[in-house]
Amino acid sequence: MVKPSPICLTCPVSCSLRPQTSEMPGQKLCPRGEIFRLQEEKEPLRHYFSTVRMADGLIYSYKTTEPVPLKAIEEFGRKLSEAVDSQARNKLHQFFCNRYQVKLTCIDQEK
Amino acid sequence: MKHFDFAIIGAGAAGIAAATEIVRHFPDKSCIMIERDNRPGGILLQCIHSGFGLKYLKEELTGPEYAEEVFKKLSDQPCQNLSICLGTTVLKVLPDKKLVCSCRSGTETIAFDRLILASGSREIPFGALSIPSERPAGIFGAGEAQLLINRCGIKPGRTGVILGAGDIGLIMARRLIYEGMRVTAVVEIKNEPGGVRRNVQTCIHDLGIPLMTSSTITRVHGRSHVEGVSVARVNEAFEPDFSTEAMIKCDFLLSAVGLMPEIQLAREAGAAVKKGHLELTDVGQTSVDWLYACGNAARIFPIVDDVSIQSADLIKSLPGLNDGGGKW
Repeated sequence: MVKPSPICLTCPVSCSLRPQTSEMPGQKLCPRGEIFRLQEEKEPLRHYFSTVRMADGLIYSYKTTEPVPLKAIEEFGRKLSEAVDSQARNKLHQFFCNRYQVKLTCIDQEK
Repeated sequence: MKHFDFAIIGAGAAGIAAATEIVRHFPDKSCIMIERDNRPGGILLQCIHSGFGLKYLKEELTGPEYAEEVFKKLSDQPCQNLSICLGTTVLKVLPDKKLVCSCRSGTETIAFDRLILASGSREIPFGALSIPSERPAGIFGAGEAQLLINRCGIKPGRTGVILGAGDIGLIMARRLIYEGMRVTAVVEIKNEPGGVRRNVQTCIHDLGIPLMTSSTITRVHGRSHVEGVSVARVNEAFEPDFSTEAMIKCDFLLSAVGLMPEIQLAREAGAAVKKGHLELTDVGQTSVDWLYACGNAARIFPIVDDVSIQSADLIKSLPGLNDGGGKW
């Protein structure tokens, strides 16, 4: 169930995206807010972040460098829920990291 | 016995910021930073979501990225008089200005002139809420569950309920969904969520999670493990109306009801405490004149950027600096 956000998520100010009428003058959106509003009406995108154990055995946190469709995140969550164990979940995360461009940051103990 | 001019307990955001200012403003003084984890960063290492750094670093980062950036700021300073001890836990602070520490090689005693407590905060435990239960398995603090999921790869269960709709509760709701778990409700005692609007949208509305405001959990069901919770509406005085009680099935419960400063070491060292917080001067000094507190150990900060700024200001205001003075 993907619904467009009624507020801008670009920055912490969270301006309302509702149409501005004489009853609801609201606030004028900044250029980034306008871009967000147009994209939100077309297809909501969100950043995804999680953790993955890479081939070196260490755990990394990862975050998509560009937002991905919210529907894809929901679908990925469904696949994770069907995974039988943590190894299977980790394989799914590795697949996700290959599918989308992500930034990795090590959060494991230094060996 | 080793002696240091400064000792810092904790290498999270507060400790790293304090160490950065010490090496910058007191380059000739020796400093030791002691951290129980095996890498610096503190709680930031498990906060893998973004929203950090907008104020202090002028860019939006995840917790681990923020930790990496602030540690790099420290490493970029000349640090020949700074020692960092990882995997080391401070067991006790002695009144004659010594620390007793436990590390891989055993116990060690370290002497110091000034001690900076940057030990962060701990979660208010579920047990403090007096909600009846038979103490089943499956009740976690939100931060505890975050550690299990993010740093250990362990799921707390399949279907959960979260008590508390502050930022931590909201972020964990999203985290659970992102990892393929179900969240049947987020329960908040106030009439609106305590988290910021952006988090309410991305963590609750985007994902269709039921948000029950003006409600609280009145009982946890299950003997050996959680089987469900009873939720009831509350009145304006936050008293539950048991006639509205309803059972929600779940196999784990996350409690996200707030944080309190981690000050046990300071308390044992004789520092004055009032209502769970250290009594501090404007510059973060405790009633023990060589003991200071910064970051969440001093008071709970909603955003980590302010932790870094306040910790830096503490060091800048210490006696011995010409340009002193920093109030918070």
